[in-house]
Amino acid sequence: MTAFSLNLPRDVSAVLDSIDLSQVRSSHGWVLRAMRADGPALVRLLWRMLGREQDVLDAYQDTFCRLIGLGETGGEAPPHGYLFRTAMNIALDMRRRRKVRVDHLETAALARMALTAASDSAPPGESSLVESLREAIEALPQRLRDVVVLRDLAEMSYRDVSRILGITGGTARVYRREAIVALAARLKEC
Amino acid sequence: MTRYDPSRPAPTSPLPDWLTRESASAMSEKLRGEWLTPTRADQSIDGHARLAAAMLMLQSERPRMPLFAQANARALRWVDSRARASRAARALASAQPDLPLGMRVLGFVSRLATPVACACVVLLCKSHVLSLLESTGRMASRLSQAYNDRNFGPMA
Repeated sequence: MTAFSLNLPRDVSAVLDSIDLSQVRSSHGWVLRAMRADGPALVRLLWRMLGREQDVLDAYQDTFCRLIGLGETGGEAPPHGYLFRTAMNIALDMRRRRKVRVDHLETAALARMALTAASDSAPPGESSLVESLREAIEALPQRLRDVVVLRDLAEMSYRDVSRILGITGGTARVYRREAIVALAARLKEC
Repeated sequence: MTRYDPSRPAPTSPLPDWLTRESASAMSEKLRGEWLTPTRADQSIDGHARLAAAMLMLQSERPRMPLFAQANARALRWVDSRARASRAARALASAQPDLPLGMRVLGFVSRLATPVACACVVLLCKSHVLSLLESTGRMASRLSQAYNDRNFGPMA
């Protein structure tokens, strides 16, 4: 049995112990490489976009499911930026679905409960401000949103951001500046 | 999707350490510093302050579980089961029948049984109908012969 030094929950350790990495490596080796290189940034991005652990796990898994489905023919890795773009799209879809669900709740009390369920420990003011920020980011135009998400939520360098989005570093800086102005204007209204 | 099976023996290859250890971002402190620095020359200074506060709060939120390890475990479990399923599907697609002679003969006989039974039924029906027609014809010629003998006298 493989022993883990970290204090992982028992079910996680059991699952990790049961996985045969040699099988994964032979058929979908790029998944392991992507997890190693971009996994932490990806989880960070999803956590900050979604704010719920279970949603992050779903979105992370969905990202790889979708990319494996795309690369069915050759089993080769998709281009680098696809990973982040796919994850961002999945997270946005999840947020939109969640919003629709909340909109369908009948009373304001239920809606408030659903919104604040993400962080039990945070005071109501803090959680609503963070949620407002998430909504403001979601409402940005795509080119600005991509830069903000990768730079500020995934904490990537401008070089990585520009490589993923296929733009120059200068353009990424300009977009981020525009995004910050737009976000500040929107948050001022809140 | 194949479910996680706790009775399956653990693999022999050790899992790498990075799979469960979340590394901190090198940009984290720099970004935090950027947001902590008060901005100048902004008409929307209030909005910017609120944005900086929200961004700092967002960046300092921590999940209550080891999220990276859990996410990797869940995604890899799916990829692993998919790899096994696709290998099994490939094997099934390229599988050739390899039956012993007795089984092949049995299969051949069982395949032929139905058509043979049908042919027998058809033959029986056909022979019965033909024999009926023949006997009817014979009876008709006998009757006509008797009629002719009675009415016209025996023919030479």
